[in-house]
Amino acid sequence: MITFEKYTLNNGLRLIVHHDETTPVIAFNLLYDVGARDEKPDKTGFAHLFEHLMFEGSKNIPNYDTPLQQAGGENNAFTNNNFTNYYITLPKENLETAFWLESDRMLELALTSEKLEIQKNVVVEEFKQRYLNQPYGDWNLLLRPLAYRTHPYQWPTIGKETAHIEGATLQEVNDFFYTHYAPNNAILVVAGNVNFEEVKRLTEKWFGGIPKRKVPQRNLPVEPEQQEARELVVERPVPLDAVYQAYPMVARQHNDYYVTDLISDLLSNGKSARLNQRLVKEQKLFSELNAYITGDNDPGLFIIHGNLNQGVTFEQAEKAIRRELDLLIQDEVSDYELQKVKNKAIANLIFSEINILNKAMNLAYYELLGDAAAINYEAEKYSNVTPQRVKEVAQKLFKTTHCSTLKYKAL
Amino acid sequence: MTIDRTIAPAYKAVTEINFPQVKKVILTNGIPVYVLNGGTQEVVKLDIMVGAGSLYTTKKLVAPLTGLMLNEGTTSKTAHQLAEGFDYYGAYFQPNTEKDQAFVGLVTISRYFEQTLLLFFEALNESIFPEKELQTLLERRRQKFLVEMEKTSFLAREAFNEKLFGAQHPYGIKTIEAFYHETRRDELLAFYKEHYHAGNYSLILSGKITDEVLKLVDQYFGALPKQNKPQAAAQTIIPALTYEPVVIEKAGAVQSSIRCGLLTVNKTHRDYIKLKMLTTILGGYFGSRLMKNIREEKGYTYGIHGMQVSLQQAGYMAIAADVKAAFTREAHHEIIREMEKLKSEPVSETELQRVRNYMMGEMLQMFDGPFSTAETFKSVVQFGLDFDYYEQMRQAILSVNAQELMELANKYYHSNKLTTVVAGKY
Repeated sequence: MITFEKYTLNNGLRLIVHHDETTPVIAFNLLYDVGARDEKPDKTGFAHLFEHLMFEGSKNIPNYDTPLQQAGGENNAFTNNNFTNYYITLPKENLETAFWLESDRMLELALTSEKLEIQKNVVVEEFKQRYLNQPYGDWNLLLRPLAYRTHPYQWPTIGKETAHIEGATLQEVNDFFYTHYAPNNAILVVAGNVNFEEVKRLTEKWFGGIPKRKVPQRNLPVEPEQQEARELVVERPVPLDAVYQAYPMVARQHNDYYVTDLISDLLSNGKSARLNQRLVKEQKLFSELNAYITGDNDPGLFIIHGNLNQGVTFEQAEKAIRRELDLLIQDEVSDYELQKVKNKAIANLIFSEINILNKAMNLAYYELLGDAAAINYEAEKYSNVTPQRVKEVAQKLFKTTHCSTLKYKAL
Repeated sequence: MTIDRTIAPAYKAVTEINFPQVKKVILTNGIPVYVLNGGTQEVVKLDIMVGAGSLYTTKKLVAPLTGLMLNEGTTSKTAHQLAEGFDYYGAYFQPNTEKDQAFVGLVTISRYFEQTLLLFFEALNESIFPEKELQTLLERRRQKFLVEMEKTSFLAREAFNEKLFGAQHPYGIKTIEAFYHETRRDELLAFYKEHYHAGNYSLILSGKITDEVLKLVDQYFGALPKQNKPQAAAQTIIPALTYEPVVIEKAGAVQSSIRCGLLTVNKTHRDYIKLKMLTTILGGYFGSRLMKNIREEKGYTYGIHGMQVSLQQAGYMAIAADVKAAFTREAHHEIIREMEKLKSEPVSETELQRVRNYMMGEMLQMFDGPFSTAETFKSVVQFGLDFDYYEQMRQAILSVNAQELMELANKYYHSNKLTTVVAGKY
């Protein structure tokens, strides 16, 4: 049970405070409701590039990192398709430093074209390091546009191509800030050995004067139901053949989400899971085989990824995966097996609450989904899943006409 | 209310740290148990430190494979039954073989500690290494290795270790594909018999540690027969004597992975802590000189990191970065230039104070929560040290001056004797 108090400022900023006396550090987590899904198809990678620029100094503070390091703090941020999250951990005595830094960069940035040029270079190198200079590194760039034809999930957070990043102008970057960075588009969580009233006072002091901004209503195109199986085969200088399959799944807040998550666990969470036991260990078809969900805020993807053992054909590999999906469609899972994945899901929830920063991030995320209090009902939602529901959801999920397959043929 | 945002709020430099209490308990048979009780969640982590790292054999794969095979079959349970057991209770069996020590971990929610301890104990102490499971594992690892070989970062790391420690030393031996065909069950079994026994175990318990937990641990681990501790094979480190950059050409690479560094000292040496501070200034945090120079000013890389590493038989400083292929030479020269600068110009008081505060904050975080605290403890106990090492670090961080750091740079940063490896293009 994670307890917290909540307060909303007049400018719309939501504050959540979690008290934990056992830790000497404070987690200060600021989430903005903007992600790669809010980008234009010809200007992708922007939300993430922008995250880099947030560290390049703000109106009254020329350097973001130095004062924080001086106060013994550490910080970082990440962007995904759904939102952007900035976080700081620092000694509890220096909490106000975090307020000062974060509120100033919400107020106004001090961007220059020189800073923009350098961060464009850094992000292009990140693009290369993670996506281009790795075997199979571009799978996400290839699979997404296959599975999505209209929804902006068709590109990854890093962007469709380096040219989009290289082409970003200062004007566009500034526009992006005033369109999406606003108190009324953000959630602040402060967690640690803190007092609610004191945090509230500091929040009013530093964020209270930032004006509300006009944030456009999100109105994303809905992905139409897929009508036929899709396939893309690429040839690459990789050592092994690999296959990636994607099936559209429900949005994070849909009732079927928990069932879908447990289905991915039945298939591949832990050594005893079906795919690992049967296709990796017994039939020796794959050296690696994983199933997982993207769990996105809008309808996401159920992904199955395998590296084929040498001598195994794509046909054998795909047939074997299909056989496992058919079993979920045809037969009810046993009570024992379902209990196993439930136990695992619930234990993982407990493990995720050990670290103060994780707790702060989780609270912000559940608040974004609709209500931070939902964090305390997750275990119950997993517990309520029945074998019958697993079968029903598997039937909807694994229609052959919904499958998008990406194959890497080793050259 | 108007506020002057140009003025930073007052902050306090952290000078005091409450180091958690480590309770040392001795089991019935003499095995030491270090207990780190704390945290808010009902969880338990048990780590067994075994003197069974890569250092103890010149057969490169034997030590890590022994760890990975522990839960692949015991005298009474198949690999499948063990996997089912851990998964059913939502627990994790975590074998992690490092260069010096092997750590075998159990992570579980408190409610299932007894059930999972039973499985864990059996996997650790009654493993039989079935041939069939070993062949599957070897084949999977071989294929993973083939994928790794396509990564410039992997190629650079392997070659760097070989140059730094010599091709014969366990720290430096490179992996080759043939090892996955040659490694035999009896080699693992012999290694297991020699190293995995009570005389070679230290236990670290973290999380909610009740008397009941301790009683169970003694009931199982305290009943093991004790044997003598084997000695590490005392290999000599023979580093490369030429310091020309080693270049591993990789066709089509859009980035080059640079690794450079040199041998220094390890945690047991009096210079180590201050040397660690020096490396932090050079490349150990986001505001470091290399990060500022090569990422923030030049945009050559997504990240460049410097680290001071402590091993049983060696300490070393290393710098790692993946850089834009066309600027590999420039990046390399900048690394040398930044090292040289530390030898000739004293660090300013402002920069020094920033690094002090940063490192104190970092140290606080190392003690945030029972599991982080356990990780921190593992990093010192293997050198025969305890949290007093961090007390010394605290004092050193607060007291070090620019002159001392410059002297250390001159003593250790011999940039003309830098081992440099580039995978990609040079």
